[in-house]
Amino acid sequence: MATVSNALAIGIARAPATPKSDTARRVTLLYLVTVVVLFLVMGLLGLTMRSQQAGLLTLSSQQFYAVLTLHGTGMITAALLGTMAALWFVVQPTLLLDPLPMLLTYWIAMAGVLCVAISTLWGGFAPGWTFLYPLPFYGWWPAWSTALFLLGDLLVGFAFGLFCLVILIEAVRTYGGLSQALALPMLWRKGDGHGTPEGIPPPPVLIATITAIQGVIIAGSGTVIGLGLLGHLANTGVGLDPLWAKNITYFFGHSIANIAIYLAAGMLYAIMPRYAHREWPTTRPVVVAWLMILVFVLPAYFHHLYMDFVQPLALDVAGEGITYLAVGGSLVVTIFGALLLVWRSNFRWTLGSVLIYAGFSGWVIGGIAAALDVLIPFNFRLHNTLWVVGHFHSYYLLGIMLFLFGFLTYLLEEAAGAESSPRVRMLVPGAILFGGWGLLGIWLLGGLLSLPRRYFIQPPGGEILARFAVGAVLILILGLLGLLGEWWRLIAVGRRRQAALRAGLAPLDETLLREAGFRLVT
Amino acid sequence: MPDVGSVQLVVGVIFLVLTLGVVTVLILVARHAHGPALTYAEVTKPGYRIRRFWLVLVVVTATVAFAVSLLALPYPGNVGTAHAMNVQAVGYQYVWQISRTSFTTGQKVDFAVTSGDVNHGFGIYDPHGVLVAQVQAMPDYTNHLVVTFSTPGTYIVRCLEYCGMSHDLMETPLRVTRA
Repeated sequence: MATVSNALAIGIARAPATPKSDTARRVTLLYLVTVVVLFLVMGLLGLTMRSQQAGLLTLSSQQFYAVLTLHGTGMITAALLGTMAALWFVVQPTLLLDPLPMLLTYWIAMAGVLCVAISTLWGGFAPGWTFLYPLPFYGWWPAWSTALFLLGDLLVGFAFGLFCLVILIEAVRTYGGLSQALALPMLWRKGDGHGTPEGIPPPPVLIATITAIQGVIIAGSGTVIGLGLLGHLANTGVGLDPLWAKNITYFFGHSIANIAIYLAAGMLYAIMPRYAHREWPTTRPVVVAWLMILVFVLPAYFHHLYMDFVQPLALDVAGEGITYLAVGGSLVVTIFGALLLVWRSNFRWTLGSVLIYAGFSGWVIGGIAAALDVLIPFNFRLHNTLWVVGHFHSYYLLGIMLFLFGFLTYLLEEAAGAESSPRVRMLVPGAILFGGWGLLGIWLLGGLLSLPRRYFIQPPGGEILARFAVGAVLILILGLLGLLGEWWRLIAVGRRRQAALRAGLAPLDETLLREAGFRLVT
Repeated sequence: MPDVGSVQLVVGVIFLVLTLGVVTVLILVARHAHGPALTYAEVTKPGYRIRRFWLVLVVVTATVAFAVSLLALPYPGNVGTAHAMNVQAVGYQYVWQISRTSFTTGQKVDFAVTSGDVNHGFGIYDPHGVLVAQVQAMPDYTNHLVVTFSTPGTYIVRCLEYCGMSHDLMETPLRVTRA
C-alpha cells in the first residue's frame, strides 16, 4: 500500500493545478486509498447481507444485524473521508492548508473506524448505524461494545468537526471575514458571469465554507447524542426522552449522511471545468443556491419523523417545504450548471470524466426517489420500506462513490499523462452503471411492493428479488475489478513516466503508451 | 409476490417518467459535448434563459406537489376520529399486544400505538400484501393511527422500525370481515 501511495504521490506531483507540497498530495492519496479499501470491504459486507436475504447464506440474525450496523457506519465514514479529501485537495490553490490537522483528522477517524469494527464484529453491537435510543440498551451485546461503538462514532464526528473548523478558520482568514468567505457581497453585486469577481471565493471555497459551518453543527449534535447515550449507559438514572433523542439522532444522522454529496459538489466545481476547458465561476445564482443549502439542508431532517404522529404537525409540513428548498438549489443551479458546462465544450471524455458524469445519474435519480418520499402521503406507504434503501444507495453508490472514483481516476490519468482507451472508458463505467442500477432498481421495486427494510428473513417476494440483486452485484463487481485493474495500470505508467523524467529522458511517447493500451492526455 | 398498491403505483409511474426524462437529458448533453465548439458566453446566454424556465418549472411543480400532499395527510386531525373504535396496540421485542384484532369493513378504527421497550413501527399490510398504513410505536409516547378497513380478509401488522434480532418475525394478524 505504501508503495502505491508513494508512486501515486510522485506521479501527481506532475499534475497541473494540484496542491504544492508533497505532503499534501500524500495525505490526499492516503485518504483516497483508504476510502477505496473501506468501500470494497463494506461493499462485500453488503453483498453478504443481500446473499443472506436471497437464501444463499446461513448467517444468524445477530451476525446479520451486526454486519448491517458496520456496513452503514463504514460506508458513511468512507464517503465522508473521501469527499473531505477531495474538497481539501481542490481548495488548496486558494486556501493554504496545513496538512498536519488533516493527518490528525485521518488517524482520529481511523481510530473511530477500528472502535466500530471491534464493537460490531467482536462485541456483536447491532442496533443499526443510527443507534436509535433506547435500542442500544435492549440488545444481546455487552455494555462494553455499546460504549466502544459510541466512542468510535464520537471520534469520527470529532475528526469531521476538526476538519470543518480548520477549513472555516482558513477561509475566514483568507477572505477577511465570514461574510466575504460566504460571498455575501455577490448578493448585491452582479458579476459579469465570465469569471469569479476579485475578492470573491471560487465555488469550491464557497462550498467548503458552507459545509464547514454545517459540519461543525453536525459534529456538535453527534457529540450531544453520543455523550447522552454514554451517560445513560454509565447511569440509567440519566434519562433521555425518546422523541427528543430521535430528533437529535436524525438531525445528526440525516445531516452527516447528506453532507458528503455537498462536499463532493465542491470537488465537481473544480474538476469539471478542467475537462470542459471553461471556468465555472461564482455568480449570484451560485451564491443564492448554496446559501439555501446552508440554511435548509440541516432542518430538512424533519422528514424522518413524519411517522411519529406526536411530533408537531407544523414541523412535518415544514419538513416537506424545507427539503424542497434544500434540493431546489442543487437542481436549478449546480446540476443544471454542470450540464451547461459540458454543452458544446469539446468536453474531454476520459475514464475519470465519464465516471464523474455518470455520478450525476445517481445524484439526480436518487434525488427524485427522495423528492417523492418526502411527501407525507407517499411517505405513509414508503417509510422504512426498500424504497428508502434504493434512494440512499443511489446517492452513495452511483453518486458519491462514482464522483470519488472519477476524481481518483482523474488524478491518476493526469499523473501518468495518459488516458484509458475508449473501450475501457465504455466497458468499465458501463458495467458499473448496469450492475449498479440493477441493484438499486430492485430495491426501489421492492419498496413499491411494500417490502420492509432491515429484514433478516424476507417476507414473500423478497427472496427472489434479493437473488436478482445478487446477480446485479456480480456485474457491478466485474466493473469495479476492471476499474481497479485500470488504476493499477495507470499507476505503473505514472511510475515509468516519472522514472524517465528522473533519468533526464523524454516522457513516455505516444507509441509506448499505445502499446500499453493508453492514449496521451490531450 | 405482493401487489403494488394504488398509491405505490402512482409513485412508481411518476418516478419512471421523471427518471426517463433525466436519462434523456444526460444522454442528450453527453452527445452534444462535442460538435462545433461554442464559447461559454455563447452557451450561457441561451442557457440562462432555459435556466429561468427550469426554475419556474421546478418551483411550480414543487408547490403543486406540496399543496396536493397537504390534502391527503394521514394524521388523526386530518382524517377525523369521530365514531372511531378505540384499540390499544403495544409493541414489545418481538410481539404485538393489540386489545382487539377482529374488525368489520367500513368501521373506522383509532389505534393508540405505543411501545413497552424500544421503537417499533406499526405497519398494516392488506390481504394482498400492500402496506396501507403505518405509524411509529415509541416508548413514553402514544401515536394515534386512524384506519378504515375497506377489504375483508386477513391483514398483517409488521414491525417497520428495526428493533432487534427478531425484528423480521414481529408480526400479528388482524381479521376483517364484511360489514
